[in-house]
Amino acid sequence: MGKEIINNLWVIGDSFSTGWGLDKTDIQKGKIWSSIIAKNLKYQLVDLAEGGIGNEYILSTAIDILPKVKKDDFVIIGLSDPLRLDIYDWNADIVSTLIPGSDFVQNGLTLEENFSLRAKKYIGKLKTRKKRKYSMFEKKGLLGPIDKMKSQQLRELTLKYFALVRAEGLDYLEKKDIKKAISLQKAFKRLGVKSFLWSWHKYWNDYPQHLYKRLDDGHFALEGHEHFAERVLDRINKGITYWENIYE
Amino acid sequence: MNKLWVFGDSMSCNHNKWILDDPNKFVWPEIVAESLNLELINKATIAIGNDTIIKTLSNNLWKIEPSDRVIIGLTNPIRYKVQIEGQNQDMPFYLQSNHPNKKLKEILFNFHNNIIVRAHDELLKDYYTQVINIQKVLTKQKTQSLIWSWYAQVLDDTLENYAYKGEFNMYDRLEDGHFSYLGHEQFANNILSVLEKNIGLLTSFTNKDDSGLFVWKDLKPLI
Repeated sequence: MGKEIINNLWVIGDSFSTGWGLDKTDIQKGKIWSSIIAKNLKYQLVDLAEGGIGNEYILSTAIDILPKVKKDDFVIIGLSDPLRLDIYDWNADIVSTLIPGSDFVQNGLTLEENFSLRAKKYIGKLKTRKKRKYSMFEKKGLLGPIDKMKSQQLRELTLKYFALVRAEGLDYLEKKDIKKAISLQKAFKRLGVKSFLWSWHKYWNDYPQHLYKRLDDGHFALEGHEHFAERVLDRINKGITYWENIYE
Repeated sequence: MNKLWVFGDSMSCNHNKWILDDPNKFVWPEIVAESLNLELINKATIAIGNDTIIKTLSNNLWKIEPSDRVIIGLTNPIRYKVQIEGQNQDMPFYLQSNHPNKKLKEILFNFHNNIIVRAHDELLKDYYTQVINIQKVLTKQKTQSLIWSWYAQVLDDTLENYAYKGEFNMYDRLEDGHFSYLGHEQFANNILSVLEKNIGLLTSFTNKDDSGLFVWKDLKPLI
């Protein structure tokens, strides 16, 4: 009797593809949408989703896995807000993502915890997980921040670029990211790998109350995960590869 | 007919069409395609950065057949695309334009010089990682590919004299540093020789010296 071959379900995306805001035991018990889909379609889940990441990182992860996928694997790509921008902070030696509406955009602050896994990929070493906040571009000395004024200037000019240049290109960035994602889907198809593309951002303003029960911060609640999984499975079973509006 | 796909910046196309306009002479992608009896699909564009080169490569990846060949020329990692008033612009060249919005240009200037330039090494490493991963896919489907970079050859030189020093002088050039017809021919011959040897990557970016700067020791194979 031959050994049963289990193919992988690769999930790439941001916090909407993780169990952001949920109890860890619920995530471990497989109650988030990616686990539900993997179980339903009988795949081994390879969860590459990370909270706080942007499309640049999401699509580069899709490129990373292109040489690793095997025939009959399945890939789900969940796109994020196209405005999110990766910035390298040379003082802290960390790559972080600017997120519209985040603490950084408001106050120049961001959680160091979010960077640990990303730092591993970009810098090749795992940073110690810390829950305190750090100020971007601020180098800490024994007596506190070094050259606080310069750090403040760097944060301000970054925010000016983010708000006055990058934000103006939202439509362009969204179209570019979707086109690249669909092209990568075609590359997966050539390798005998099915894929599914979706985005929480594109029609975010159309989010109706009755769909996907949410937490206060807008992420899926447990019932929302279940509902989303059900609707994704329905599309997958109908042969849909790009679900443009998840709020339809 | 099998294809030769070329991705890159001005060094992979005819940057000086007003000078290099002899219908009987050719630029290196044309010479290589002709020598290998391949149909040339040249996606190289003047002034673009690695972000656009990799985007174009990703968007066309599914069209590339096993018997095709692919040449990817990477560029300076601090180039990138921005949208200004609905138009695509290439940084840092946009800073030299006569755009009337001085405030916007000042914002871009400050961001570029204080953030992007300082991220040079990280960007370089990240772009190479991405393009090498794409190359692995090409190799998996048995498509021969080559990654090269004109930029890598001149990293230690200053911007002002980069075109006139070291290995860069192996190829005949115009005043702006781009290949002349003779340079295109010389480069095409080297590319053909490298393809024949089945070399896939012409640069090394992994070694650092004591001060943390990248060392470019393994560049000799091509230029």
